[in-house]
Amino acid sequence: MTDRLANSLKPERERLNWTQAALAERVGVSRKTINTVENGVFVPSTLLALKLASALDRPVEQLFRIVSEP
Amino acid sequence: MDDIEKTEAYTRQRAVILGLMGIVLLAGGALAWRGGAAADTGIAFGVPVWSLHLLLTGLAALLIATGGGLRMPSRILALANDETTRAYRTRGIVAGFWAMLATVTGAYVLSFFGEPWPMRVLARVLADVGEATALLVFAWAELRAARD
Repeated sequence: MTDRLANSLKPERERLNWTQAALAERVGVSRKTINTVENGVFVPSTLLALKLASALDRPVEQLFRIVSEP
Repeated sequence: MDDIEKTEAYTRQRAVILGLMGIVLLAGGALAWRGGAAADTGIAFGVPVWSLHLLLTGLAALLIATGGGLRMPSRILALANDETTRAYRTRGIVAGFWAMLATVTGAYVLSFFGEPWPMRVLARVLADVGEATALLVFAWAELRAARD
């Protein structure tokens, strides 16, 4: 069994009508970083995860969750 | 153009340039390998070829180690070297290490079946393969990450 980090970054961002660039500007990273996190290509650091949660006004555990796959 | 767009343009340009440097290094390594003991002893652009090679590998090492852009505004430099870029640089450097190890192991095994490579050629090919792999892996990861 393997664990992976899933996230609801895209729906939460779209809820606020923000583009990837707008969210990137707010948390101080490149748009590429937001893109890779949204697509599950890149696992963010704890610091970035907390910054994203703060920017989107959501608890971090609501934004990120562990998914176990067989 | 805001900082995010400027960063995006810069990082894309950097990935393309570093990728091209990787291709040039690989081509140079292949030429050195074919040239044997005479590799890099010639003159190009009025200077010894070996000094041009040192300049290129030194520049490539500096760029992969720092991300470059030292004359960019600090805000854009920080965005252009954020945590994904640092992770991709690390990924490139690790891939470069394994490529060098595979090359040196291959050269060691081949030396039992034929003429061993001259030290200069081995050093040149190792440096080129290691750096080119690091640059190409980094460039590929950066360009892929920027896609929507």
